[in-house]
This record gives sequence, C-alpha cells and structure tokens, in this order.
Amino acid sequence: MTTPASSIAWVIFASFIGSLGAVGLKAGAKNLQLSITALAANWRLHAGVAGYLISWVFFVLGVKTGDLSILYPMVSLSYIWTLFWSKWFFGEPLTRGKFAALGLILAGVALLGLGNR
Amino acid sequence: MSTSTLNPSTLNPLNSSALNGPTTAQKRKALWMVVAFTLLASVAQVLIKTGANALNRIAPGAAVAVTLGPLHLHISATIVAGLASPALIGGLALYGIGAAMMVLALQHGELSVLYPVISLSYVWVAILSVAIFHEHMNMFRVAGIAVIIAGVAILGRSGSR
Repeated sequence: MTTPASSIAWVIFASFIGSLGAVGLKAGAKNLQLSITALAANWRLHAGVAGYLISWVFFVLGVKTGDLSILYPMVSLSYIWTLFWSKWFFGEPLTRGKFAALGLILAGVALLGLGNR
Repeated sequence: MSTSTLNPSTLNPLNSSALNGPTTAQKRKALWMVVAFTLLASVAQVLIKTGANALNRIAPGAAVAVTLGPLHLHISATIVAGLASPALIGGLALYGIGAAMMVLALQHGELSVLYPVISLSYVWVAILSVAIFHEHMNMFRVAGIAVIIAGVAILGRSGSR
C-alpha cells in the first residue's frame, strides 16, 4: 500500500501539535492545584489536552491509509520537538543520556514500523 | 524528612518540588506513573480499535431518525452506535484516567525525561497485537521492542538521579 503525501502530512502535523500539547500539560502541571476551580482555570492544562486531542484526530486521519513502516517514524518526530520545547520553555538540560535515549527510541519505533508491514 | 514547621515543603506539599526541586523518590514515582499511563493508553487503544472495528460493520449510509420537538434529525447510525459502544466508552475513560496520571507525573518530573517514555506504549501495542489480534511476532518487532526498552531504561536512570 503506497503512502499518500496527505497521510504523511497529517502525521507530521499531528506530531508537532502533540508535542505542543505535551508542553501545555507540563506547564499546567507545574502550578497544579487539585481544586475544581483551580483546575477549571488552568488554561495551560486545557490547551495541552486540546492539543493532544487534535493531534490524535490528525494521527488517525493520517494512519488510515498508509504504510506504518513510514508513518510510525514520523510520529517519533514529536519526541524530537518535545526535547527542544523542554529546553526552550522549561530550561531542562539537554544531556547526552537524553540524546542517546532519543536515538534508541527513534530507532526502536522505526523497527516496530517495519515489523508492522 | 524534616519535621520543622518552618520547612517550606511542609507548608505546601503539592508544590514542594517547585521550591526545592523534586526528590529522587518523586522522580522515580513520576517515571512509574508514566509507565502506568502507557499501559492504560495501550489497553485503551486496543479497546478503541475493537470498538472502531465493530463500527466498520455498520452500513455507512444508515441513519437513525431522531425527533426533538420540531427538529427532525438524521444521525448517522455509526455515530449512534459509537456513543453506545462500551469498548469505545471504556477506552476513552481509560485514556482520561491515564492523562490525569500523566499530568500528576509531570508535576515532579522533567518533560524531556518523561515524554519519550510514552514510546513504551508502542511496545505494549505490539505485544497486544500479537496476543489479541493474532498478528505475527517478527524480528523487527522483537528488535524494536528491545531497543525502545533500552532507550527508556537510560531515561529511567538519568531521570531518577
């Protein structure tokens, strides 16, 4: 089954929006207070959840037609985005361990994609 | 653990990591919460896939007539069945619980450490695909699972120092 460009575009876009959703969740978690009013007012949290839901819709649209061996690795783009967002937004250090882990995970997801043929 | 009433972490336990930085125990707990999230998310994915497969057997053009006072609506039968599907509802509920765990985990853990751990859900889905949907385990899947676990293990060590 050939993978249409639209599927790839959906999945790439999904991974980008998904990574921003993760940023929203982290930002919302930093000032988390477990009361109904505080949770309702936690707009960063809501933005994160919305980002995740939207990215999930785009992902489903993309994965409907297409080879998972090509689409899976696109999803791991979100890990790359998130690594840099975490430095940009939250000042988290970019260590060699994180890069090594990222490399392994990208390779592993690619392998699983090939295994899904 | 300090028993002094002047210790900031005893004043607001929920935000102690914002004041002092998360403890190793908190970071380890955060990591395991993300692992739990991946398990919930994978089961949720299987439930949703099961529910969606059932929906695919409904004729695409079929509609359910609904009358709300003066309104006469034709709602797609697929949507009606979807809203009533225990598999879909259960899957979404599990996703919701999992998301709550993820947010709690992010309170004390670094995003760059915890986020890639979500890749474990690919591992669980691969295993479940073989166990439940009778797909085949192959060398790519075995290698992919091993490599992902190795990557997550590195994050586990770097994240709980």
